Amino acid sequence: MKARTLALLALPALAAILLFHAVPARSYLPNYSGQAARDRWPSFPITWRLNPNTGGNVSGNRNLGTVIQTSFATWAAAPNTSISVVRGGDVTSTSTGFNNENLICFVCTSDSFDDDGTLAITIITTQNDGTVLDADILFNPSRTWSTGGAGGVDIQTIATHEIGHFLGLDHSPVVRAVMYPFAPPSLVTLGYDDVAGLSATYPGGSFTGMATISGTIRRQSNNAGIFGAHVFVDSVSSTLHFGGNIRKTPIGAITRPDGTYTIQGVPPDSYTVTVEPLNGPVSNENISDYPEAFGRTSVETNFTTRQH
Amino acid sequence: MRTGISRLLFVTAVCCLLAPFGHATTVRAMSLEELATQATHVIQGKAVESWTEWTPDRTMLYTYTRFDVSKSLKGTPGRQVVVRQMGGTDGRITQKVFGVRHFITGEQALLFLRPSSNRKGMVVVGLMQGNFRVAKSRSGEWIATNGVPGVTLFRNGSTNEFNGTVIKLAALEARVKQAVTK
Repeated sequence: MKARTLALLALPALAAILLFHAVPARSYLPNYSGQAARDRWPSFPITWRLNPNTGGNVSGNRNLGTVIQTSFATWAAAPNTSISVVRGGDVTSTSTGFNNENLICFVCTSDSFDDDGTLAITIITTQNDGTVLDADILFNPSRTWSTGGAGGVDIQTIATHEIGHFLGLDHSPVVRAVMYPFAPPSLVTLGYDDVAGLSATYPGGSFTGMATISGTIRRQSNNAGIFGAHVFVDSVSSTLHFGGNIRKTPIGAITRPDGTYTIQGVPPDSYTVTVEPLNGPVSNENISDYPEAFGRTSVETNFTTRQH
Repeated sequence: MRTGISRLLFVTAVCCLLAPFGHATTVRAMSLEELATQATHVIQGKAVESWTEWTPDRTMLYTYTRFDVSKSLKGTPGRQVVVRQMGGTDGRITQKVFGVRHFITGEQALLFLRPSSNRKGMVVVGLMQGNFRVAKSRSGEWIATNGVPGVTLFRNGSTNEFNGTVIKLAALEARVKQAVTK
């Protein structure tokens, strides 16, 4: 496996920001690779329930339940994972949070829905070891939603993204990943980064045949490890390792406080390895849990990289 | 092997292609002017205390953070405000909403706020969008960032797209003041 050698030069923070602000962060393996704090469901199947009520703000040519079910099925069909999900009976509940219901709701209220800036949220309840106890997905009742062929925000695109959170995944800086926080109007198929994140969390199938790429990102000036550096690997071949349903994207990780990273679930191939600051368009605020898990307010972005 | 420059060009091109179609899956990008309009209060302050509470039915955890107010750009908040955020931990159970970053005692922020639905504290407008962390750069300038792209920057009487995640604090204050006085 071929990796680029990367030398890091510490620069003043502002200079780094000016230099890199137009470059999108690319990818990372969601959540805490190798850390105890990774969120994960303890057993399968997971039963989710839909409150099918809407406020007249959902239209389109497909059944709402079918759209949500299809979105779950997209993740459940991901290769190298052990997950399974089951649709429980519909409910009329609007109670959210820690109540063992795993609710999908279009009429539930939330602090974040009092302004129109938020489309949907996922609330996940865990034990301190990351074991998921409950998860709910709430769609903003004041927005207009489409099941397909109608005006409004595409439900399947948003649901597919939110279900990634439901399963414990955080945002990804891969621009073509489902877990990228700023998606095109329609994106309902997974990318390599999504599959790697899910399979590393819930390994199954042929996961043991996948590769792991690991290393340490250090500053050239003092050899100190960099926290929150964004490392991603790109396959150099055109092989579609997971078949045509999984889009080829980079796969990545964010470094730990000591600068180490581990990227699991990588299909055997030759890869280039690249590192960059996580400073836009996806940045610290989009992965808020990550620095918080290490008792920090933000990742380090005051560096630049040089390839040899 | 691609060079660093070609990679930069490739990535920038991908970004440009996506940009016209882009929208946030969890949030709709709000301009500073929208944030200022939808907020009842815009304040600068320092987080001095945080605590977490369950709702009475013990289904939802909220984290409350008390801020010492150093400056008000909109509204009359008093010397302190309490900001309520979804999620938190009681030491045994953790609840999180992806996209919500809880404040840490000692950090400084410029916040766009409105009353919470139960009137217990204020909430940040636009989920995390109305939360600008404030810090001094190594060159000594005060910088604010909310981690959200697509914010427009008002400069020399014209409005330009600002594709980064940081803005000089003075420029941010100027734009807020202008939006508030419109």
